[in-house]
Amino acid sequence: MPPDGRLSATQIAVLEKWIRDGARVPAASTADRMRRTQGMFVVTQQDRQWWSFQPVGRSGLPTVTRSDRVRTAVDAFVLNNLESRGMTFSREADRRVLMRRVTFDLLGLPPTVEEVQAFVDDARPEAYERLVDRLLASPQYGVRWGRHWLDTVRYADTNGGGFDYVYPNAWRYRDYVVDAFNEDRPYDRFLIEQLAGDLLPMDVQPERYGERLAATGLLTLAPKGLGMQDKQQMILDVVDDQVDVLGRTLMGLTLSCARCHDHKFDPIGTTDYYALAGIFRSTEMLIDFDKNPSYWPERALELPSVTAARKTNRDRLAANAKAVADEKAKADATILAGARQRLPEYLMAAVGIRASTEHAAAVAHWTFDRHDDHVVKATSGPDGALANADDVNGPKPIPAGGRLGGALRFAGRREVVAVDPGKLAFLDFGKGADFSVSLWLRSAPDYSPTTADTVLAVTYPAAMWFIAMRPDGYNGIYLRHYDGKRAVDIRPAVDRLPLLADQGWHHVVFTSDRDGMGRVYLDGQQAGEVSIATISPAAQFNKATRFSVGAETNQFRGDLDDVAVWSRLLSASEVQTLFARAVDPARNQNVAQVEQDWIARRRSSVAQRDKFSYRQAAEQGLVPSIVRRFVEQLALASGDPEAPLYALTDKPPQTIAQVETVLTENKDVLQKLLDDTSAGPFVLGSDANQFYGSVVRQRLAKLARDTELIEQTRVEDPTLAMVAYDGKQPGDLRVHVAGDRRNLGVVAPRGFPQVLRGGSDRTIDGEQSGRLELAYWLTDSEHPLTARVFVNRLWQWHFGEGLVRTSDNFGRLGERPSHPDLLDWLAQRLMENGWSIKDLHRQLVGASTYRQTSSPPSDRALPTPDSRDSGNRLLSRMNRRRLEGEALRDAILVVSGQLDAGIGGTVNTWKPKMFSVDDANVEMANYDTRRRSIYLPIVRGAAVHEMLQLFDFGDPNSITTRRGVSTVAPQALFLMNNRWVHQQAAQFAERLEADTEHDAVGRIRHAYRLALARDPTDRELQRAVNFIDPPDAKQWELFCQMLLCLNEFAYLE
Amino acid sequence: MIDRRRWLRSTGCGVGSLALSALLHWDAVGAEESTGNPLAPKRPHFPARARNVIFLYMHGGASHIDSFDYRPELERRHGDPLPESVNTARNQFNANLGTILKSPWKFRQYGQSGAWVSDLFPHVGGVVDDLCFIKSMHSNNNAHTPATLELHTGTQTLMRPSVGAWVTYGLGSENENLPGFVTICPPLTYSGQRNFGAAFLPAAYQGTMIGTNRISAKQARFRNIENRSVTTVEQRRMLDLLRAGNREQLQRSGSDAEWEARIASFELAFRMQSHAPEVLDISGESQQTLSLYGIDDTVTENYGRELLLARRCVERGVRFVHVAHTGGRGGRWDQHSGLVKGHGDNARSCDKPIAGLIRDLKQRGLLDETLVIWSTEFGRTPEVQNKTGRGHHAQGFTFWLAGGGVQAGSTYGSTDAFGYHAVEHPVDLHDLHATVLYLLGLDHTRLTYRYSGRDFRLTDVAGHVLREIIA
Repeated sequence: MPPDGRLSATQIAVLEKWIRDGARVPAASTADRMRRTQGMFVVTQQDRQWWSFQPVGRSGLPTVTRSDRVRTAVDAFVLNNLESRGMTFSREADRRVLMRRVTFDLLGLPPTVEEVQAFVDDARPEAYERLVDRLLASPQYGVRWGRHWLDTVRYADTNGGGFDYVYPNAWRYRDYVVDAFNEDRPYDRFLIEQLAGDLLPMDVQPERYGERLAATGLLTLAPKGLGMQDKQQMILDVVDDQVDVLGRTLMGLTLSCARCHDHKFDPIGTTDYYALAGIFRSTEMLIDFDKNPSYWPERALELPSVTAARKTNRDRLAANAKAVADEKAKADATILAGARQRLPEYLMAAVGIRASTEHAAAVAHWTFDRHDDHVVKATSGPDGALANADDVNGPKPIPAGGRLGGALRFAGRREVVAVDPGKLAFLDFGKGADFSVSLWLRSAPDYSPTTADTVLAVTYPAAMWFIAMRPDGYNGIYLRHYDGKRAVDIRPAVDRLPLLADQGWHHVVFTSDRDGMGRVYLDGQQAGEVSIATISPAAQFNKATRFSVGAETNQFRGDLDDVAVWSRLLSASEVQTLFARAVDPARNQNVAQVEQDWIARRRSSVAQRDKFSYRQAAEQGLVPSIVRRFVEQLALASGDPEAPLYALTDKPPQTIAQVETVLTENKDVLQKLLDDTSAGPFVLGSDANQFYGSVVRQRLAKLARDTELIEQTRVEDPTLAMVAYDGKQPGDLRVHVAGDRRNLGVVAPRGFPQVLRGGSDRTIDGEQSGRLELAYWLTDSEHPLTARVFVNRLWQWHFGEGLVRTSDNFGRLGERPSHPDLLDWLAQRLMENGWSIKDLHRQLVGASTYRQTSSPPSDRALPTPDSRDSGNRLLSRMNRRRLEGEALRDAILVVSGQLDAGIGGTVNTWKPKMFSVDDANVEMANYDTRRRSIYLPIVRGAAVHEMLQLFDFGDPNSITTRRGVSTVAPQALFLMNNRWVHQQAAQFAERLEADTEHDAVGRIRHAYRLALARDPTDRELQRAVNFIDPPDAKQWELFCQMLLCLNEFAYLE
Repeated sequence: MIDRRRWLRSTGCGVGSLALSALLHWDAVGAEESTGNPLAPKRPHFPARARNVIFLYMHGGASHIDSFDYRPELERRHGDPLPESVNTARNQFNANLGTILKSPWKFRQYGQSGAWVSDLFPHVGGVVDDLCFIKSMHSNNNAHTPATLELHTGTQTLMRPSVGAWVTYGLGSENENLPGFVTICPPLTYSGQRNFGAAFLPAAYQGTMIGTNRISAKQARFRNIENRSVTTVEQRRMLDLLRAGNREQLQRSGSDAEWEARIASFELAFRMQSHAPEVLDISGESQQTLSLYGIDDTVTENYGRELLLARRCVERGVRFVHVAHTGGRGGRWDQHSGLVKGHGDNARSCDKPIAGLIRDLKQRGLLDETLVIWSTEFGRTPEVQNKTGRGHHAQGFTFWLAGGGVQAGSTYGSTDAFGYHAVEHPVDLHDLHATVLYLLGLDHTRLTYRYSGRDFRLTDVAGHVLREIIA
């Protein structure tokens, strides 16, 4: 019905735009039905006329007037087009601009000062071509172009999909991609391997079989709704992701639109969609369907024969290990039976050893009562001082009033004091490795740690332990053992924590028993215990390299007093005594004062007998590890009338007869302890083998030799990667009407979209998923889209815009190519040149088109070429491009001299089934790396790395075929205020400072060369000289930061 | 005379904006082209009832039947098994359930409207006449992460823009020196940042974090807003040198709109440094206001501060403020056991601040145009779990809305006698999202973004506006 009256100007404008855009009308629903025959979508002859469905054309090179500007075929097409509009190329960019442009373009890194100079000075012909060859041969090329590819296949290191498990092995696929680019893997091969590497014959290049499996990571990397309760739906969503990658990334078609209805604009029906979906549905990309969460398949990157050999080897090793264990178990049983017979002797030995070590004084003790010139004197123990050694950064804590006399105050300024490294012998706890630490602590008002804040730390060559305060999960104090691999924390039970937050003084004691429990006491009472046996045997507490109080890395705030360290376990009663005597107003005793009584008592008790040691026990045929366990029981029993061995500590026996009397009198309580084969004393340690008989030893020696022999045929551990493989029952899918899996329509036999089937008669073998056929079909030289889409994307990454700007949509909603003949020429070139990608790079970056200046014509009075081509679609100059977040970060690291240019691998130490963010809100991604940005973990379910996110990294939950370029204030704030940027600017400044040959002017010049590949102008130089005044580190740093913020630094001209 | 709010919005906002030029992610001819400033205020589809949103999210699954959904049948049948007539569905998140557990809290009626509120929320009870309860919420996933994603983005598994990003995309921001969408001390678990992310929308629409729940609200700051190594004067000198260098390059290499925009972005960033911290500075708030939010009490201080910041943001024109409540230290609303202590502690720390927020907004005349939403990812089972707790329950739970054009003192929908299924007027999250957009003057079917070859909506192909709850 015609409207009443005139249309408004806005309405007319809308209609005009609609007509300009092609006056498209979505297919009406009746038309949809008419396009079907027996449920199958029908493609018309008109549909096939669409330009991108036509075979790739073959045309000769157009002629041009300025043939002197034609370097590669690209130029003929572009220049011809320009000349037909009365335009021509701009001048060639100067060499420094070109050098920076092409180096960033091919490597994603800036050129070095020397490289720039060498290129500028190279007067020989073809200097530029040689430069391009060198760049293409650099392994950094694969990093740069691999990253482009990863965008288009939504690479990530975590799952997303509402269930953000980390991918410990996704990087194997990343390495595959980087290697493939570096090797110039033919593009058709590259696609076949990623879509169906597992289906290629195993025996063709068997050494590359693993690599081909890793390539199928493409399919498995999809975000997966692992936690969905509808598992069928979960699979179909993953299948849809695959169709989308196949469509938009590889074919430039929005195939996914046809999941719910026939495509509204392109001749793709739901039957076409489900024909493809059936192929992916017949592929396993998920496992554990009966579980929530489900998982994804991972496999070893090796031939089945290797797997079998490993299994054989492991079975033999296991059988051997069992024989050893059986032998030892028998021998151990004999030893234990013997030991039980000698119970009184064991007890006598334990009593003797305990008497020898009981109440041994602290190996070091600081009261913090005396402060001489910031040297904090130790009261006992190491000769000296807790003072700032030269290698310790950061201010010292200041003296303050303490619990007992003076204390050390930490004000959150990263204060730290450390013992002279030459005087650390007191921390060598030796093989025994038991120790205790006592201290008084008062946290500052308002203090709540934001990270783990170290209070005290000891470092050994292969182990460490430290005491720290920490937020969240167990807000409070803990002692962590770390042996280089594992960590165990001794920490108070949760309900005891509030105690520490009241800003009063609290007494904290940790005891660490090498073979048993770690305990923590708060204000004299045990507040928690944890088994540390798993970690302590690995930790060697010898040759301490550092003892420090406070830390330069974090910000503890509070006071510390009366710190003492023992090389033995304090008993519960000793801890109580230390606390009670300190808080007793009449006494107010510190550790040293309490110990004076102990020392007196010990002298009297030890005097009654000779000292006794583990060595003596062993000489008497007593197993030291059993003796140790009795000693521990005695320590626990001290002062505890409920403990089984209390009688032996209350009145220590002097003779075996006395022991026997105690045993008889306490038979009932003791028997339970002695019968306990896990926590009781009759448990053997690793020293048992010294007590084996000679026959047993010979048998064990033989078995050990066998082990060595089997070890020689050991097969290396498998390299796991995320892979896809064919399902057990490949099959066709029915059309899901409106995308609803409960509303099924006709069967769509697995196959390829009708409009693209052309003359091809490829069919899918019912036994397999059809992925291999799909891959061959896709890379057939008859396929009109595959090569076109890829060369267009290559063009886009070199020029900023594709010849078809909608690089993921060659359908009717996409844009038409600006240079259709050029697009086809390049596609032909790719296919005819063995699908070589590096050859195409040479065609593009070698062209005069690419080598033009990016500056617009300066004379604005005349009609400029730009006015005829405002978007520079015709390429009468080069486009300016901003560096992506990765290139910007890498460039900053290069300029600051901090980049680690290593290739391959991962920076994460992830285990399966970890979430990207743990329960305590801690992100698992390790961003603390100086490696190239491709190696930064990409997290789907939480934030992407801050810098990548700010600078337009795409959403890794879906493919990104073209990055956005936004300019927002948070980017500027990042460059102005972020600590990482400050650090890099400081490193940059230090690098300049290290150059002692030059004066300030020389250094400024060097800085410009490093950052911008050019010398400063006179004005720039003058401004910089004025700025760096006074010429101190801060001004140099700010000057360097300024260079990193410049537009010129972030853009390629 | 200009009112305080308008004044707050206009201070310092001369030229410039948070985002100066966003060359938007387009993939089709005719897709939206760059409008320069993505955060410039935009006209709604129709007259709006609300201008701003404060979205309260109880992290972990706050129990409906222990807070606002009074089900006396649970008291009567305490200790009995749930009757077979209730059609139940079981999975690992609500497994090992026992018999019916009555609420440990007493329910009372409050206000003119006589709404039932348990003793968990006595202060919220005091403002029920400003609230509109929706007691028939339901969703179909009872695992935390998917349910939380669905609450915030409308989908359980796919990463989509959050409701805050959609709103900011639809309406822009009213203060050019602040982000349009902020989230105060959010948790990073349950897909964390994706719950306030922009996904495929331009990054300018994503939620800007002020702190995280790992730190106290007192310590919360905008990222990269402070420079700890140099003074403002020194930084200004550096920026002047930068500008001179950039200008010289423009002269040398020829004009460029992007380069001009980038030069301006540094100037705006410099100004933001002085404006953004002002939002977080509550030293000018009266003692009365501080105690209204419970900031003078250690139990309520933290969430009180967060909500006071929320009001200050809204006052200055921030479009969408997201404030999760993650419970006391380490706790969430996820009591599979220890319901009395867990829910008790959580409610004690947020009840007074929430009521304070409603009262404060009202007395300042802001409640009319600010929509407050109290939400959680799901409720909890009527049956006991692990002797002292409740499982996850998605079939029926409660939200409430306040201000922003909703009917004050009303209740919509209900669950069955056991609080199990939403039976009367069931409302799913698409419906809620559609309604929120409607109140802001946006038609959820018309607020679209072209991506990946098609137009996307917050509500996908679903969602009904709940016209019955609109005043």
